[in-house]
Amino acid sequence: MAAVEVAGLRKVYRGGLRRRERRALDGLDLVVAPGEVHGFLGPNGSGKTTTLRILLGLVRPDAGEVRLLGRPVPAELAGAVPEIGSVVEAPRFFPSFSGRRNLDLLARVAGLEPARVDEALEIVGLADRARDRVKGYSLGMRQRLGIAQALMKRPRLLLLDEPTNGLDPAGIREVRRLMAHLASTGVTVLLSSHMLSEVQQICTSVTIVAQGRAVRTGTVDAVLAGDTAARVRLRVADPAAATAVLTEGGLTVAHQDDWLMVSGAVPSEVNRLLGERGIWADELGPDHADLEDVFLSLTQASQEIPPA
Amino acid sequence: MIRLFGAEVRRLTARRMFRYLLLVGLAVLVFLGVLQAIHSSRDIPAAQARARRQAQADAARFSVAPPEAVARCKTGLPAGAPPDACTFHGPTADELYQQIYQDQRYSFAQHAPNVVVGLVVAVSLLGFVIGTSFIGAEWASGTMASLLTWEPRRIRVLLAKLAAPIVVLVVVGAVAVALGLAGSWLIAAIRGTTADTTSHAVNLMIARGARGLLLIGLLTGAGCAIAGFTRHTVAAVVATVAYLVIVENILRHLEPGWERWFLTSNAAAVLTGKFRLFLPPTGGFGSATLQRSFVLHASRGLIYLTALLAALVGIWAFTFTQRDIDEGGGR
Repeated sequence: MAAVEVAGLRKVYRGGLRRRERRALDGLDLVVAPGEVHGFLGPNGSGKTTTLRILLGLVRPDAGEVRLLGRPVPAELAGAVPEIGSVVEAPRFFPSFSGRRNLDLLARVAGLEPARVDEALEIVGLADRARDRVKGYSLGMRQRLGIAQALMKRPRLLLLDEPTNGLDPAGIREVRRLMAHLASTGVTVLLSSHMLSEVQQICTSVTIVAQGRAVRTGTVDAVLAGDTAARVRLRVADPAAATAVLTEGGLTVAHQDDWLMVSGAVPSEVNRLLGERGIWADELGPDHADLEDVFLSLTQASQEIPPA
Repeated sequence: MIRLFGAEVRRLTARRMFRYLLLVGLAVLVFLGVLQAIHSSRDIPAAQARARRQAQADAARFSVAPPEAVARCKTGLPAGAPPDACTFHGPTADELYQQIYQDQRYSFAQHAPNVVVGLVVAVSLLGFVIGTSFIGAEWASGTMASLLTWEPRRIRVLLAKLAAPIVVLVVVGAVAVALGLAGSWLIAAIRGTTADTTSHAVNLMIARGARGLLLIGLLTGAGCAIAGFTRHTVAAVVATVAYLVIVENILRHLEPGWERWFLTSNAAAVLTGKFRLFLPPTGGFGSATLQRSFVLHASRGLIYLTALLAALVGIWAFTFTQRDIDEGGGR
């Protein structure tokens, strides 16, 4: 049983007097296996936050099926909620109440022990500022308070929307460690983030969305491999001559800064073609793309496809 | 549901606005009590003597008409008018004494019902403001979304948010009325009079107080419901004030018969037991006209206001369950 299952999710927002439509989700599919730390990547407006809001019952989808921890949403969301912690967008709290009181009110709703509040505040490093009013908190402190409220339930599933937003480098590292720790204890994490390096470091699997659709999903390694297969980075003294030789040999060549990017070949083949024509490479090797390259290539490509 | 209700009560009573308003209310109550106590006097002979002196002085002054007025009167007299036609007959000292003398004692039987009315009106207005602010603040701060990730059953959330301020304000109202009556009795016992406090008078006071508590609950609930579907404290208050100041006032002049459907008329009927509305006179025989009136009873007012509250809560429930909780934490 997957921790998160989304199939064919669609959502159109209608706003204003003219009821103008904005398609937020266009048949999104998403599966997160138990125990995974799953990255949810996409450019602004690609439907990430809408998806998380639908998962939490805050927004009603127009079509599609959602299951969390095996329960259909929204019909049986109430049964799953005690095991789901979440931070969606910037966490919101009553500004004139202290951080502790804000968490205490939520803990009472779920009938949690008051000790859980202190425990969660301790985990996120806010114990010494717990009695201060939230209006005096920095963005990073509010973010940590949001994570604390998500952890209070000791959840099996964490839904996090940009959880490191506003945190300083030390805070980001703490969150990263926390998620690694949670994952090691079997907690499933669905992490929506713009920080691609962060997702690459933390997540075991990833779904990339664009224009409300999933354009690539799988383990991080598989997604990276899929995009960089048979691509070679090459630097030569005479790029024009090398380009001509490789093109003649049936390969596709693109210029990127000082490099030639050769698609559809392995390094030995490129080396052979150039060597036969007396062109020697200064540098040659397989292209190890990072998630940012994959993300940009996939999301830019999807923008060229008209929505269904 | 009970846990949710408890959390809402805790949140309401922890709000600074709620605490400050209660403190201010208590201070005003004490101030008015002290003022009444100071104003009350049991020295009846001295008050009677003062009134008698005043009455005699006024009678002496009024019995002598100004000479110019008498002269003007005489010049205008028609032939054959009685000789004493221009003689001025002013009120006697006894007549004036009856008008001037007032019992300066604070009377429980006479004043306590007004204390109940005053307190109920004050706590009702307080309840409306606190109710709108309690719900409006939730939307303004965006915490509704956070709460729904802990309790996604929206109708339960709505009921808890509605019930908490109603229960708290009704308790506040009951304590305020009890304190007001106790203070009133104390002032009457120490510096006034508790005479004429019959069991019938006490029963009427209790009934008025009980109806008052219902009114407090209804108005607090209305405040919550309006803020619930407008999702904004200021919008809720402005809409209500606009209704009371503009709609009721205009309709009162244009269609006086509709006054029986006004919120204020029905609230007054609930509080006072019965409320008589005077309608425009209709034509009678010749130039005579017939004064018409309509009596609103408490039971009718109560049913009408409860139905209105149910309608407002229904709109709130519909919008709350059907509308998305969008970006920005709520609206």
